[in-house]
Amino acid sequence: MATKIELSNYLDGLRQRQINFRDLTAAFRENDMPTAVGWSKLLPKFDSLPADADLDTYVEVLKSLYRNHVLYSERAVVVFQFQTEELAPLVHGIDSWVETDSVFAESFPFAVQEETLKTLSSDPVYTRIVASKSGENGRTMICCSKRYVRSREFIDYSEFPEAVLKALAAYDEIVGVRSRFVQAFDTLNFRVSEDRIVLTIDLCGNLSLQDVGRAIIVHVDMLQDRLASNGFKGDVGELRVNFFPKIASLYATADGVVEHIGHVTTSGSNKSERMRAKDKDLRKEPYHQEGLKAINGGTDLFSISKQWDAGGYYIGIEIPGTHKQAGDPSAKVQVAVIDGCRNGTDFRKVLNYLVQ
Amino acid sequence: MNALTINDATSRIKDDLSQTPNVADACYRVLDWVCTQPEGARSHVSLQRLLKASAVDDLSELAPVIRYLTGARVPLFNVVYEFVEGDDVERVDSDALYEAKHTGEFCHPLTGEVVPDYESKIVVYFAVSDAARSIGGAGR
Amino acid sequence: MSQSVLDEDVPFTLKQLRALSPGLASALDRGFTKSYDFFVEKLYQDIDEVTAVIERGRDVRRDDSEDRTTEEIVSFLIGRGYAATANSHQSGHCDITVENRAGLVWLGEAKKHSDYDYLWKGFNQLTTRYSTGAPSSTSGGMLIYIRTQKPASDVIAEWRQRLGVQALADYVESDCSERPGLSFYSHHKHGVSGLTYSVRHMGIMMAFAPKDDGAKLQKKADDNATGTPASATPAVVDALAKSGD
Repeated sequence: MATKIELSNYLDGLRQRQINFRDLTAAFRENDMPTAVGWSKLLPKFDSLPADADLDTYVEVLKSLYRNHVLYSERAVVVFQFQTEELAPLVHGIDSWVETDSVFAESFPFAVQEETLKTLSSDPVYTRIVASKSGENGRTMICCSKRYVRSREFIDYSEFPEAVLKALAAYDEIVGVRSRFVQAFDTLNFRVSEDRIVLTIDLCGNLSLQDVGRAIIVHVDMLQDRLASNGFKGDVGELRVNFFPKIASLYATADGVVEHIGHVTTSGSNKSERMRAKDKDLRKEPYHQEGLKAINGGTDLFSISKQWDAGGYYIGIEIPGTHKQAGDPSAKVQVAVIDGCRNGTDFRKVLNYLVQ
Repeated sequence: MNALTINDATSRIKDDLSQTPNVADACYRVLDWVCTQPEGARSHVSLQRLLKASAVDDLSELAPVIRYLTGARVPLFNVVYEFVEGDDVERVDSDALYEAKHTGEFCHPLTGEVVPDYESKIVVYFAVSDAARSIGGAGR
Repeated sequence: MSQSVLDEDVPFTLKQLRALSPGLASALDRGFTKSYDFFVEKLYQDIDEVTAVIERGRDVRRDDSEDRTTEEIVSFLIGRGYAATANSHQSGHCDITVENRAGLVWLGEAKKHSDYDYLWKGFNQLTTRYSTGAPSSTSGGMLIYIRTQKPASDVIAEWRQRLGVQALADYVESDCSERPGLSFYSHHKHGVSGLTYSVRHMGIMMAFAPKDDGAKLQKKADDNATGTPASATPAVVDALAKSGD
């Protein structure tokens, strides 16, 4: 029998994870749950639910939303490709990797409080595998980490004292940079039948590429140790799939909508083109088309964002190269970002564009 | 939705704005300008561009032109509102802004959190409406 | 107005627009609304604006018929972008129909106040004959053109009092903060839809009977009799007398 406290925990968890509020609203509407334009108006509606409200259904919906957000929300993705039939013996006994007595395990599936996070080690970064589950795509392990994030927030300066306002009069916006610790829920998916491990890094929306790189190294080191003790002789880091060649094929494949590309033209300019509306295809934009025509299509792509309609919302990939890599046949980009996914089906669909 | 033709637009401007010839003239100039724009270049028309096209002296003179050309009689344009904060650009509809004005709170479309000083983050531009798609370009 | 802002290719924010041109910001507030409350709120602002124009110019409008005044209001609303029609000549139609781009509808009955039975007839035409009270049309209006010598606020107060005793289903009334004393709202259960139907009763002051005309006539009569302006000072009177005028 679900309780209001459970309801409240999941709502708080989703808010803390900054779930896309439109996704939340869509799920609530589908299930005849209360909706509102924002959290400040939504939470009182749940606080004042009538006694006969269907809490069991509400909690199931929230649980599913929360689980899907932990596993499939915006993530950086790295794929380790092993030799044929190489992976199966290496994952023998991996369930023992789960540590049920860690700080993270105690509060799982929810995050620990920031005050607790601050007390955990930063060097080495406190990382623990908290759960393991089998599914149609192999075994997935959830690996929680203490992670340092910086976020920019725009400050409402209208309440500042007069003297401060005068000093800041020349500025249009005042931006604050907030640093804090959060608990990341990264995943390792062992796809033995494909000889692949798929690593996803959580909360990548708040991380720079360098921060994502650091988080990846923590997992690569952990995998190296664990797989080596099962007989692996190679270098896990060397097995990362290079996504750079996918950029051109994603652009060339007519499906979906290209939102952004970075490219260097044969006429000598670096270009970054982005559609303002997320559902409009850059490839059909007149300015883009005429520009390419003028140089006979002579341009080298180095980054791309592409999206697909998943039925009222968009799921997508970003492969973030740099202009220095344009036209380089040995260019490597070994991390991609998958976002917009609401569930495993969405995620697998997008992942397939990377690995197939 | 009925398609708006250039003949419909000009005859309605003539009938409806006969008492305000300055506004009518500005509307004709804007209509002419739309006719010269290729079809793919009508989805983001800034206020500055409309000001130039209408050839009125200032923004207050543009107000009746915009009211009329975004209204029910000659729905040439849609008003587009976007919430822009950092790299986030999200479309917002006018009803959400109406509610925000009345409640005093505007919630970030993605995070659901209250945004202080939200009107400083709402940008406005215009897009030629679906009803007016046939005006100018190939349909001129 | 900041010319540099206009010259740069930067997007205008709503905040900048309100500071630079409140009229334009207000025009943009309308957008393409699917909210009936928003539609009606803006419509009433526009009707109040044309009402003010009519009231200021009531001297030149003193011979206007009920239909002429209604046409003037409808023309103004059309200029504001509404699909508005005056149907006074058409039987079986409400006097004023206003529609926005989203198909939201507001109906208005326009009546020159002669007696309260006439207003009651107009109210019934609006609420029982022409309106359906459907969700896309839950508001209407009574435009009451007041030309009588009785103060307009007295006319509205009495009309409000008489309406209140008509035993309309679930009837409540509320003040109008924009035109206190000259407008009010009634709300009752619509007989067709069963939903609450709100009517804004708007008194429009059209009486013109300035009392300073009689004094002018008397002054003119005085001037003609003496050949001397009645307001002349003793020095002028002396000067005129000496000149033989």
